[in-house]
Parts: sequence; C-alpha cells; structure tokens
Amino acid sequence: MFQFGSLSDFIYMAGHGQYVWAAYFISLSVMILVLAEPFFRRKNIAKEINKQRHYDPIKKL
Amino acid sequence: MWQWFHKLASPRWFYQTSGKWLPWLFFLAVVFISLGLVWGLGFAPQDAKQGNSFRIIYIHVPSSFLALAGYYIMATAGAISIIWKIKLADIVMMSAAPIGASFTFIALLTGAIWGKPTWGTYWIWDARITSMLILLFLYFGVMVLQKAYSRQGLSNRAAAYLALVGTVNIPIIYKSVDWWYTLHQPATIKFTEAPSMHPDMFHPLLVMIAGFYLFYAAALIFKIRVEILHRERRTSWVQDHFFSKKNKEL
Repeated sequence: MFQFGSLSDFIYMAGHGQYVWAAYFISLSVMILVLAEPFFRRKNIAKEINKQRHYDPIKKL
Repeated sequence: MWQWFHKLASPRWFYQTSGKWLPWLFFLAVVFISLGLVWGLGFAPQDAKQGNSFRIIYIHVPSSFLALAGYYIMATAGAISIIWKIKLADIVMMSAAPIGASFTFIALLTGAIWGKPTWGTYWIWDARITSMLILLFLYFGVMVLQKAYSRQGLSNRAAAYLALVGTVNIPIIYKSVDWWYTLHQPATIKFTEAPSMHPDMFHPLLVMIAGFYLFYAAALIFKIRVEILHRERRTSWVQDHFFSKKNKEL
C-alpha cells in the first residue's frame, strides 16, 4: 500500500521530507560519482591510445 | 592448482572474463536499488516512534555494511599483495579504497541527517560514529599512501600495511554499540536472531542491501578494469582491444 495520500504529502513526509530527500539525493549523487570517475578515466585512456595510433612522424616533419 | 591461481591473477585474464559479467551486475544493481527506493520511500509503513525519518535506514544500513565489507576486501587484497606480490591484488586494493571511502561517507552523512530529527543533533562523539569516522580516515590514509612514494611497489606495500593494521578498528565498530551504549541504537539485523523489525519494513531493507552489494561489486570491477587498462596501455592486447571495439563497450 502506498503510504501517502497525495504527491505533496509524499514530498513533505509529515515534516521529515527535507531530511529524507536530502539523504537520498546526496547518497545517490555520491554513487553516481563513484561510477563517473572510472568512466571518464577510461575515455581519456582511449583518447590517448587513439592519438598514438594516428601519430604520424612523417607528417610532423 | 598454481597454474589456475596465476591465470586468475593475470590482469588481462581478469579484464576479459569480467567483461561478460559486468553488464549483468549493473543491470541487477539498478533493478534492486530502484525497487528498494520505491518500496522504502513510498510503500514501507512509517515508524511508530520516528515517523518518516526512519526511511533513511534504507540507505544508511546498506552503505554501512559496504563500508565494512569494502574494508575486508581492501585489507585482504593488501595481505595477498604483501605475501604473494600479485599485481592484480595491488589493483584491487587500490580500487577498493575510494569506493569504500564513498560508502563510509554516505553512512556517516545519512546518519548525521537522520540524527537531526531523531536525536536533535547532527553530530555527537558516540563510539559507533567516532569509530566509523576513523574508518573513513583509514580509507583516506590508504589512498594517500598509494601515491606517497615514487616507487609504486613501495607505496603499495605501505598502503597494504596500513590497511592491515587498520582492521583492528573493524571489531571495535561492530561491538561499539554494545560496549558503550550511548546514543547509537544496537544492530537491527543479526545473523543469530530474528530481526527486531516488522517484516513490512525489513523486506525492502533486504532488497536495498542486495542492491548495494551488487552495485559495489559492479563499481569495483569497473574501476579495476579501468586501472588495468591504464597500467597495460602500452601492451598490444590493450591497443588491439581499443582498436577492434572502437571504444563502444565499457
């Protein structure tokens, strides 16, 4: 059974909404950051490898 | 047996095998956490004494579990790297530290937010809270030590020793609520007894704990894989891997 009568009740949570939503929001953000860090690191590694592949010493001269 | 052990410890073998598992782990983690979020936030009944603020338990308890489980994994990897000098163990220890620190941070932060409406304060130097803060600093210590020396081997050894010494803190965290009964309530879930919680509240918590474990496994494997790519970026298998897949898969 859904515990709240309306959407505003659900957000307000009888006065505890600010604590509950803040806790959930910050926690999920941290978890997303945990995944984002290796994701972007991997992209940089791929970029670096790609650059080396297309590096043409003759063109540089 | 030893051949198998060395195969398992080869970063390349790990990279290729874990790639098949990773999408499933991520998928299951998202399913369990989404289910737990909806169930815990909207459908679990509110607590008779604490009202709706108790819903924070659905992140607080799973993240605390993983803060501790993550430390076991990090310290075990550290021990393996000291004893057998296995490259993969170094990578596991290195990758586990920031993820464990993140979960310890989540546990402390949600605890602080939960404390405000329940105890009337964000922070108190209670035994459980203080020992969790020490855990966070141990994670930071391992992270810093891994970059402390210019010789990677030396840095890893120092970090592994700190991780091992820091395990002293783990039983203190577990027992702190029984030894010094101040403010933090004793454990709600014990392996030896039935949970002191109504099933309607307990089931979404179990779903969330499973979801957090799956998320942890997926995040750790993902981070290990990227670290392997970084360390072996000059080898032909990594170069071929990027070239043939055209950077499409994770």
